[in-house]
Amino acid sequence: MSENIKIVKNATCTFCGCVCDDMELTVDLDKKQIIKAKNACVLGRAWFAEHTIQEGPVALIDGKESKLEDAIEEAAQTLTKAKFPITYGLSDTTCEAQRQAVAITDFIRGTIDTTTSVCHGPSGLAFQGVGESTMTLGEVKNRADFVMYWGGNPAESHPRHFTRYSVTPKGMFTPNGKKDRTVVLVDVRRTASTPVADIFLQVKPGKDFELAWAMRALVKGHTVDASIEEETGISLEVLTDLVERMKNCNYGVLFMGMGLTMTRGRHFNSGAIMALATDLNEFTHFVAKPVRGHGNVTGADNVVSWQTGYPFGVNFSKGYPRFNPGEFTTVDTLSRGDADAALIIASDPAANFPQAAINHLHKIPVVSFDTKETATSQLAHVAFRTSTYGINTGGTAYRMDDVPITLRPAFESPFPSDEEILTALKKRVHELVIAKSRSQGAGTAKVAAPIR
Amino acid sequence: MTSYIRISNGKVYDPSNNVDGQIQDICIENGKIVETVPADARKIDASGMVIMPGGVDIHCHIAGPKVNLARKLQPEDHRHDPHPGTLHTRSGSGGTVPSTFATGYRYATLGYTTAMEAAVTPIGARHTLEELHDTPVIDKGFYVLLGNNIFLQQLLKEGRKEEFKQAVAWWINSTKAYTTKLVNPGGDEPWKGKKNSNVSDIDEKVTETDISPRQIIDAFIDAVNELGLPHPPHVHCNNLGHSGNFKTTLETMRTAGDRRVHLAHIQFHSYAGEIGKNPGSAAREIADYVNDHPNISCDVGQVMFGKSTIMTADAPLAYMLRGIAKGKWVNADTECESGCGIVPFKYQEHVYVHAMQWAIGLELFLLSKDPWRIILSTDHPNGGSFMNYPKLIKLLMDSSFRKEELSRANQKAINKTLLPELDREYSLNEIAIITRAGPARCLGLSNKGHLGVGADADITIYDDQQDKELMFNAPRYVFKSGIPVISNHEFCEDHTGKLLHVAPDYDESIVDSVRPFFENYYSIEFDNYAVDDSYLHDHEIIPTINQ
Amino acid sequence: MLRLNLSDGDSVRLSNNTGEFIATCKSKKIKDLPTGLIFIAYGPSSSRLMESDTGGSGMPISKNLRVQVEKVAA
Repeated sequence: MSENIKIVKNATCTFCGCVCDDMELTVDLDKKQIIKAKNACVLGRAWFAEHTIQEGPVALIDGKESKLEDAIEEAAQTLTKAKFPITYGLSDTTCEAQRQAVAITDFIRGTIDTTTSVCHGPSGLAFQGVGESTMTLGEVKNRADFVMYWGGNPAESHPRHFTRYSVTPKGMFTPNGKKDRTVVLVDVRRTASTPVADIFLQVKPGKDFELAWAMRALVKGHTVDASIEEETGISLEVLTDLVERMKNCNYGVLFMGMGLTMTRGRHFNSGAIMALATDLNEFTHFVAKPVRGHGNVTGADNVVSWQTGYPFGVNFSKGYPRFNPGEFTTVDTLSRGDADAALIIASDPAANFPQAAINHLHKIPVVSFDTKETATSQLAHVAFRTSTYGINTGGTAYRMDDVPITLRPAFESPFPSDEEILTALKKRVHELVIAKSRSQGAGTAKVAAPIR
Repeated sequence: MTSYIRISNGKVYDPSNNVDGQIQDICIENGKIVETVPADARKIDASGMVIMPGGVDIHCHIAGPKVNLARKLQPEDHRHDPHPGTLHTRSGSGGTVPSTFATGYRYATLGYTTAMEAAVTPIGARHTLEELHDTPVIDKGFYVLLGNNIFLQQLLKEGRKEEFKQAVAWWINSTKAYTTKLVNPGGDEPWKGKKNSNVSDIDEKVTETDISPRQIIDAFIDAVNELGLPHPPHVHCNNLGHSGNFKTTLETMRTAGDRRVHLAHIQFHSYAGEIGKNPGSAAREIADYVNDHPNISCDVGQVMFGKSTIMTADAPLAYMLRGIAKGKWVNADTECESGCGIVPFKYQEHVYVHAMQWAIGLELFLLSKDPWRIILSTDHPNGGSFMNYPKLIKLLMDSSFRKEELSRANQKAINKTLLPELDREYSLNEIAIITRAGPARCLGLSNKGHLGVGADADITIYDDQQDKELMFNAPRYVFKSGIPVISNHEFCEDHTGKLLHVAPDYDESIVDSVRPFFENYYSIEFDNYAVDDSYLHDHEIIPTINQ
Repeated sequence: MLRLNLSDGDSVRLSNNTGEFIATCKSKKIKDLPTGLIFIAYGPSSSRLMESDTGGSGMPISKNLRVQVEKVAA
């Protein structure tokens, strides 16, 4: 170990949506690596350990090393020439970078979408339909005496969710921690999370909606037929008992996993859970919350919403934002073959999208931003190598409950941040758009009064 | 490079400097109003035009966590009202909760150049500052929600008043806020903790905290006055929207004695009648009290017929309203700090209650004897969008238009109010007071709301038109900090605007008191809580009286 | 696995109308993973089996996919 050691207290782990901000990082500044991450979970430790500095070019054009300025110019030309450029990703970068990415997409009249569309996008749609009674995670810690996880495995996906926020912590009205809480888990299979639960409901695959709807019926005092067991795998007796517990708790929480949004029912499943939480407010205080995956996917939702009015799947081709999931969401724009250029930031669709969408990515010019080589960067026309948010660069990340946290970088990277390159790209794109507009003889401004 | 502009031949309305429609030149040098400029300055001929300071909105909801939830909630509200970009400006979407860019540009298209977001949780301050940075043209600030803060209530309960004051100052500094905001003080704990109930009497001791709303209000008025903040506590009284609530409102004002306090959206707190039954108007009682007490200022929170979005830290109220249509509803609890409720809403002329609310707001404007202390607002978007301001101005300036409008509203409601008998018409000078000079003075913004030498060159130039709605809907020029943002009705330059905040002095040892509570009951680290200066973009610290 | 005459380490072809890929078997107790269910990780392998139609939601069905299972020679 070298002598040049730095300790960073209250650093934030941006690996998952928990965005735990109590890391104590021991950094070897000579080797440029984090050698210890106190308080981190197993995933967080891996996240901090993996992000070392690897030599390599800051930018590649068609796989060949390029100067940063040239790559920015090429990216700007590619994006402004395209007729249907798409922007995608954004969940593993700062809000500051996300703001630049929306601006670029606005200027080029492109389509912007984030990893939300293949994560809790359906919950976003459900939210638009029914609303949501929700909370910050500290409320769960302080008040919740009934906690239910549906369609998720936090022990493996969000290891500190139980201990830091929702099962074991001792709070204002939960002085005994887990003893003061009833924990319920709903899943199609037993997972590492199951042992935490006081009650485990093994629902039949694809039957989440039916189960949630039956619970709504019971909450509202309707009769539910015993055949619900045959349908969902859960007996009426178990359900009736559960609903009574929910109605009689002091502060109940429903956490929604992607087991709800990625399966049959999609937004109907999320909507049923949100509606269930709303219904329960007739009896007691009840809230619900999607458990978000990536470190700043919640920030992406917020930034795209405040800049455009819509959370994801936004198209600017008419000069103003329009929202249409299924049309402007990335799996659709790619697999239908609409997109003719793509700006992909901090995500790897080439590794997890449906094959038809991946096939189209191979056919169009892609501009990629990532901290490492990925399946997407390998197929990119212009690939930027950037520094890692939260480790090398500061900025803001939003926790899954919309709480924003300022990141404390541990050590410097030779690579620029997403925000720096995107800001330069935005400037150049704007210049090109203005030049294009002038050459076409368009007016310089529109009427200031809003269009009604 | 110094920029000089001379605006000539316009009729100037500058109530702070006793200018009431006289033809005067206005000179601008680098964003400030000056005595004179060199002969080669850019000249703008404002013949046939009306010149006013840029508008100041003292109470609106335009940025932050609850606003963004309301945005996300209503794609249907954006869809019919797109906001196209230009080469100089960003695009966005409108409706009652516009995107940040559309919000800034649309304020500018009404001639407004300053707006205050009225309710932000401390933990949401960082988010709010990011949104305000993306809200162009206007200068802006926000009020931080402290009236249901559990730690502060504990200090009060234990009688630790000095620490209470220090903690308030610490919270304001840590969030970059403009003043304190109290919303339904004391009501959060019953809502979150006792199966969705609420506090209903200003002297009722809340079980969980053992203090009453009156104790909270009293303590904040004292603390903020002692800290010398330019704007007093901004209070959303208990019992908003309930019949008979005017008594609570009067008691809230009496709590202040002769100390300064601002009552938000007072229309929603001026209802007679019995709880649970249809409201009547208590506008006369409320207006009389305000007229007689120069320490009180308020904004009206006018209801305008049409679409609105209820968004409030008063979560029990939103739940009650949700119960009417059983439509979509958002509740959002913030740990140790606040509640929040959101409900899409529509005020309808034929509905008794809505017509009553509309009429009470207008009564309050028309019964007011001191326009400096009854400020124009719609509590955007709760009473309706700020885009209704031109129509509201016409309602105040044109009694025949008002009569036409009131003939269409529910007559049973209208006839229980004084509105049919009130013939008063506001003058342009009075409009300049309730939309500019008054709010700037209430906020303690000495460089805003007037056109005297040294003022910020935030200037609006309207074509002088008979139809005041048309006139106030489309200024010909808008200058923000001396920059001609709108020229001949077109956006010709973008501008970011700046953040206005206060930084009262405080004893840093208060941190030792806050920290242990924080470490026990918050879910983020204490050292990551305070907002650092990187979130400020361009900003101005408005000094306290003591600084 | 018994039903299909499979044991740990065997290779199987998972296929549906969208595509196919070869996976290696690992057994689980029925209590943990009910009969008729196979668990695979989300990523390049699931991409092959995911339909691109999102039903107007933006979200491809990524869980609860119906597949045919055939044993293949190792």
